[in-house]
Amino acid sequence: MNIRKIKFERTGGFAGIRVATEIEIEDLPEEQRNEILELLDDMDFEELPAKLSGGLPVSDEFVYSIVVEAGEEEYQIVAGESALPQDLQSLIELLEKQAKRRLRKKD
Amino acid sequence: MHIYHPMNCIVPPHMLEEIASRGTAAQRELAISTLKASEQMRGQRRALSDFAGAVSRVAAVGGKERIVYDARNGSSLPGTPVRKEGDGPSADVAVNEAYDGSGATFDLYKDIYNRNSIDNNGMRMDSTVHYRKGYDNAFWNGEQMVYGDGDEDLPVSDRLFNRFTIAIDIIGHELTHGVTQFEAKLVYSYQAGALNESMSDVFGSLVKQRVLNHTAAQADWIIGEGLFTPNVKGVGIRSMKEPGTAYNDPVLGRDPQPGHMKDYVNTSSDNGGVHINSGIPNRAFYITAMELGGYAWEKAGQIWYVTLRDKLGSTSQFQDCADLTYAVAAELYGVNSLEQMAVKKGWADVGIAVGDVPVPPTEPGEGCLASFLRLIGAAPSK
Repeated sequence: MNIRKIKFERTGGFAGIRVATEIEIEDLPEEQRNEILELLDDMDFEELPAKLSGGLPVSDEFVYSIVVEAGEEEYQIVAGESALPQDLQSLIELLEKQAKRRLRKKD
Repeated sequence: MHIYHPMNCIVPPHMLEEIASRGTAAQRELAISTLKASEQMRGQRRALSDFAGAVSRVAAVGGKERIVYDARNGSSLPGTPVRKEGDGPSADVAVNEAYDGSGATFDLYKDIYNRNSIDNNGMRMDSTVHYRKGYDNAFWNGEQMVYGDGDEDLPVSDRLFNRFTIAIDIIGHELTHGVTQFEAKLVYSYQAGALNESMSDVFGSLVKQRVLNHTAAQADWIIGEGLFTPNVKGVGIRSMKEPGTAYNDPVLGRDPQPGHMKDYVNTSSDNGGVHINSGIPNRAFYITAMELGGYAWEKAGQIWYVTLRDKLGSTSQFQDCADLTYAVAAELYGVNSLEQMAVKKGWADVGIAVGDVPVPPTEPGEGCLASFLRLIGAAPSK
């Protein structure tokens, strides 16, 4: 995949406050870029189903949406916290950290 | 395969037990998990101890039974037990808040609505505090409450959230998700999900009002007061009195809740806006309670509780909830009683008319059972 951009959105949670960010892959420091690209590659992101569901609905859990733009294609997945496989969990931790950092820099 | 709907259906427990003891391995597993998830329907607890792996969570003496666990910033649940029923206070404030808050919630349900815990059968109330690091959330996972510490991992000047046990209505909110799971089983999406959320806010707020001995007029009707740090411009997460006004902050944005149907938010995010559109039924409850005066948990709370316990179904919509609370008010206090008129006004003021339409049936019927049987391969496909 020739990844250009990643759009991250977190909604839901008890507070229902949306946290979102868009990351241009080129703008990331090399180490972070490599880490994110490697994770996406390892989990075959483009092959994942668009909606991941866990066993039972969990009230007040966060709901994540990740859109990866690669070439002319867009791949999206939506998943609740409880439905995240380990590799996706790691990716979300990275993206969430970015989103929170950017959120707090905004004035 | 994603197995979802049995959770929200009423499949007779005896049938599940039959499948659990006689089915194939896969059928057994599904039936047991469904039993575990939805065993105590409408107060009818079924014994699960015959099945391997099932854990009885009924309190030994049928009274209040709490355990608070510490996840020690990890994500394994439930974590290490740190305070059990009857133990003295801990040195850890989050542990004590989880303990006291679940106690106050138990008391509201027991003393006012004669409900014995989450399942009405003495279910132990388990809470885990210090979940993960920098975790800005609390949730109910189908079995227990879980609380994060907010932004404890950031410098003080960057923190937006305090620990999630800080507001007692959050604890009442999470426990009420458990009550809803055993009663109306409102699916967690779109309007049914917003009703699920609203019920949690209603009874969460009532827990707080009762602890403070506040009348409807004295109450602040704020959900999550104290959860924001002083860095945030806001009084709390939601306002039941004036949805959309709880916060307006340069970093977090503005409280997105509508307080009227004309402002209903159509979105697929947040499971279809369950934490957004809950503002509408929240305000209907607030107006009803204010119309009636006195303590909100007495009459308005009773009407909403009976509706949640006996009337709402898994796919109920706002209109259903309006019609059903209106019907319950008549059952409890009489047709055209002040109480029934207060309910009518509550919903009218948020743009929902009651009393003009017949009440739809709410109990899931054969369709549900048939679909479950198809799912496990015990009935022919359509």
